Amino acid sequence: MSVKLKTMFFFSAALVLAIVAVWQAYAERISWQIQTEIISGRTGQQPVFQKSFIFEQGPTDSVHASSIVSLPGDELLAVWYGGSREGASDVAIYHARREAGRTGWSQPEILIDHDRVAQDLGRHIKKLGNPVLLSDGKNTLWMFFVSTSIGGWSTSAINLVMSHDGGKSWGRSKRLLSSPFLNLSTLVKGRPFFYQDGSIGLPAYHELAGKFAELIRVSASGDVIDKIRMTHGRYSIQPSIVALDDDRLLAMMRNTNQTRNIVRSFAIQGGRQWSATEYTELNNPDAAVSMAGDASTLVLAYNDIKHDRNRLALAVSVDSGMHWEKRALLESAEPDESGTKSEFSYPYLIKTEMGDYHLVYTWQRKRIAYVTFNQSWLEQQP
Amino acid sequence: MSHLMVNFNTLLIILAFATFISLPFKRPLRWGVVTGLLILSVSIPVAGSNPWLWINGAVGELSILTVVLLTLFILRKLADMHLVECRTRVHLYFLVLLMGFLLYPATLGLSQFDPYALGYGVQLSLLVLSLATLYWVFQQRQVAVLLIIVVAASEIGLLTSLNSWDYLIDPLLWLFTPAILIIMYFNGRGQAKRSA
Repeated sequence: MSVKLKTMFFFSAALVLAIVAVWQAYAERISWQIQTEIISGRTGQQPVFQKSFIFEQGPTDSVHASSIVSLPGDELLAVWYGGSREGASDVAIYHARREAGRTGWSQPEILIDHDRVAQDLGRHIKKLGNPVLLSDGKNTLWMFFVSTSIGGWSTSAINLVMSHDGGKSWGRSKRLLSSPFLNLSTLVKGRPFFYQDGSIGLPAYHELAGKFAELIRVSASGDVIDKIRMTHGRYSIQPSIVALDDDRLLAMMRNTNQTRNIVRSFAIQGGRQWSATEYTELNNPDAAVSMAGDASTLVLAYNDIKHDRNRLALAVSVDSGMHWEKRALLESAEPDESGTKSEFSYPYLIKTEMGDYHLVYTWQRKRIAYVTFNQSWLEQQP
Repeated sequence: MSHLMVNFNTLLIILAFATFISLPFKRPLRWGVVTGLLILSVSIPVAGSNPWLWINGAVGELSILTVVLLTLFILRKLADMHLVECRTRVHLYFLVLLMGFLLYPATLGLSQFDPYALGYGVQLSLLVLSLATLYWVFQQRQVAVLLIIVVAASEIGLLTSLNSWDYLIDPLLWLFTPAILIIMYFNGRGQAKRSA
């Protein structure tokens, strides 16, 4: 075979491989069908609304970024980070449990601390934060949280720690690789969800050069298997995602720009394609929001104010997130005599299989507040 | 596996750095300098932590290409083993430079397209194999072989990451590449003048 023929042969082979590669880009790699939550609900319910604290006097001066998960047998598990101040070296992730039939919570205890994460990951750890929980409805729990080795929160990476006994004991922390640039700047805040193949959809965000939302696909064992960019630009972070059916998703997001309105985006194909972002009519003072429910009733916990975080409210949508109606004001406080502003922030809302809502949020950075309510109570609100 | 790989990477970085520092010395003395720096790296704490933990924290896992290039550098300077040609390294560094420009700014949010997501499928591996074929056709066979090694490592899953980009390139390699290419350019000019 002449040199010219050989060259042509190899060139053609390279071309075929390139075509196959492009074709593969459009081929299905993993399932994108969402596992929708089956909510049985209770009919003929009495309205229920209870507001309390997970602890009156916690073991730390400062607490923030709580999340909550429902466990089998009507138990609840809440986690948050606490320490002398945000980002301090004594910050650890704490947890408390509420057993079925009880109104009070167990004493807060450290779930994982700085030293243990450093030991598990074999690297220096500077900060810990934003734990979010996911349960398979049996005994397996996933807790995603962020850590930094150098710099501020924008240099965070996501870690995962798992429990196979309903949160009584936890395994070693594992670092998720979600960014090619030193694994910098991927954070979590929103509630994860399952796909039908058993993998996890993890709402995440980036805030280094750009500020945008991402959906990370994580295998049940904790490997990143895919990643989709949900939004673009420098303003939409901390997506809170709810499945409208097994194909469509709605994300409500914190807005960091000056419009001061919550940002919304819809997805099809299980989150592979996201619509352009839109501003909703709901206020947002550059603060986290949290949404729960399903296509028939969506509930959103958010700071209903343009600046500061001293008002926390609930809004409801009965048309899959197109229109929202303010339904209840949970917290509202003006600055005290010394001018100190109140903070009720970082809500994290879930709806259980029984149709009850459970909300946790930061209360003045001193306590984690806990609110539970049901559909009947929501419907009674003006 | 991950811990082992991260510690191996850190060892490689410290060895390469020590080798670079030892370059002004003759070869037997280089070994002494490298050994000394290696001992220092495990015995002097930085802000209360072992320096290895700091390097692990800042760098994480290196790409397969970086591991190969660092190993080649150490072998060349410490053991006088020249396993690949200079032009092979030049091709690889230019390739790394180009890939970094395509990948990092876009991934950090400077474009609407996220090329990193391509690395989770087989498409990036297939594109690299196509590139390797072209290098083979155009007589750059060492480059082709090294690219095939990277793809093979990615398919085996040698690193923690399941993304093929992480096998090809890492920021450490990309950030050092311009300086390396400049050094190679001036070294080449110096050698040409001497031989003239």
